[in-house]
Amino acid sequence: MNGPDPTAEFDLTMVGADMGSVQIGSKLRWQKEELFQHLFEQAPDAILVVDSTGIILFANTQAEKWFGYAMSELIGLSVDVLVPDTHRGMHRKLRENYQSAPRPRPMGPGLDLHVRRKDGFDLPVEISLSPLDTRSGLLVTVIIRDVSDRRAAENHIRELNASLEQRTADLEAINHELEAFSYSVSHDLRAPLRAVDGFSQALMEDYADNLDATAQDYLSRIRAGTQRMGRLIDDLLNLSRIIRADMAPPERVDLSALAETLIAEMRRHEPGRKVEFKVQPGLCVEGDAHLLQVALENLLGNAWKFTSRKESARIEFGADDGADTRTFCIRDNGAGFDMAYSGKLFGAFQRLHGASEFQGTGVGLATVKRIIARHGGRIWAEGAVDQGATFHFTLKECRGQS
Amino acid sequence: MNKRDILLVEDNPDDEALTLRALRKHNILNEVVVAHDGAEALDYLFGTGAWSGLGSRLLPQVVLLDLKLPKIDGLEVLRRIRANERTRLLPVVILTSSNEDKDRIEGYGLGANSYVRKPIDFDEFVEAVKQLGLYWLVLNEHPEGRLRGS
Repeated sequence: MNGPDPTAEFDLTMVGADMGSVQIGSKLRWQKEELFQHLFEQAPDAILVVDSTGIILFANTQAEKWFGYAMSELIGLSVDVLVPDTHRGMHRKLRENYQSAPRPRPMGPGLDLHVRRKDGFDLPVEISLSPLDTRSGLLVTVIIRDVSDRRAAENHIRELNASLEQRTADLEAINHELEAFSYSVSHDLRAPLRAVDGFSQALMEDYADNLDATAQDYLSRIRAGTQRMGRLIDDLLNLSRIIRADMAPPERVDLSALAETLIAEMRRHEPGRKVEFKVQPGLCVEGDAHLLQVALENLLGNAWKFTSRKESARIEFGADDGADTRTFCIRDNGAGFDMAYSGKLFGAFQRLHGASEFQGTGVGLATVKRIIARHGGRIWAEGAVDQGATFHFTLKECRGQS
Repeated sequence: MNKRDILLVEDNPDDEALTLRALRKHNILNEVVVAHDGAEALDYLFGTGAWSGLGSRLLPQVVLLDLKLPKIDGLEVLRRIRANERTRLLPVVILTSSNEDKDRIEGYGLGANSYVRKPIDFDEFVEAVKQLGLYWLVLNEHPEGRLRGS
């Protein structure tokens, strides 16, 4: 250390220290002093030793570097100078209080501390204090750690959080708009359709005598068109409702029983159809019961619909063995599809069959895909034209058998 | 015959014509008063605005209320009907295009007596109006009781 040495007059012998152990061989003692000097200088933190009036007695190289003072300036300087001026008055009081009840204070987060460099720039720091009771009075060792990098990282995280919050708010706003949009679709798009259908019907009823068969055929085509568009709107609304819906807490859903019920309903609806239905019993998963019913309804409904031209229709529902998630499949021997178009299968309003062949709006499988995805599962299909189709999907199997 | 009116609150002229047609098809002969927005409906019921001075009129047999209306929307009309001592028991049927759960739940929550979604298919629409007429005009006892001669 350079410059005047205010420590020269200090007896640094610790109060109560065992003098015997300090007075060891001079060579050893010299080595020990050198070792401590080395540690002091090479410490990654700035270290100051101040006396009871706050005057700096020792400082290491790191302190010299950080604070921007030459060592000769640092030694003898009041430690208060290193405190940002906004806190300087308070610091003096805190320091005086510390003198009356000195105890070690470790570093730690929670305190927002800064030191002022010679160039006026404030550094964020953490500070530890340890009192040293010497024969010449109380000295305090101050270890100062630069936490600029950590603070910068914290700020960065805070900024990321803020931008995430902003994005969430934006998404919520979009969702809200979507809700308003689908409400408007539900209400406003249906009203004109009702008028088209209603007045076509009124024409047929009130002016039947003036309308020949062709005119009446046209009117019934108009009505069929409006009703089809009505179904499209309803399916679209259902899809958007499923996308928006909050998931119910997962419950145990017996897919086998559900499938049996759904097929029984379809049989009741079309008692003329002969369909062989095979279901593997006891298949049960965890999920939202309502959404899973909608999914199964669509898949089985498709199998039912696309086997309508088969002499002996067959629909199977089963599962492959798996670990925690299970792969289920619904297989039919119906019209099937060309694998070249399998990519289009799950897109909304995508149809692989003409309306004259099979009725439909092309929203069903898009809905199913959304539901399976919301349960963390996957769905894919295999098929060939006139060879039937198989839909595979994964869902979380329920724990424990009932 | 001394019958109570039906108050139809409907802003869409097509829906108005279709509803009137459906009512006629079922020989419902009650006079139908049409209000084209929420404010008009409230004026009619409370004898204010264009209907001021006519405040002692009989309440309608039933109010057929659309939800999406200019000025004052259907749910607000319902809220004010239920908040008024004179009209709080008046039968109100929500007749709307919307089948959003939110509307249905809010409608019932505000004390709607029925909630009917207007079907696109006119035959279904006529059927719905028939059921409404049968129930609210024939079977249901009005909270103010029967009218003499009706």
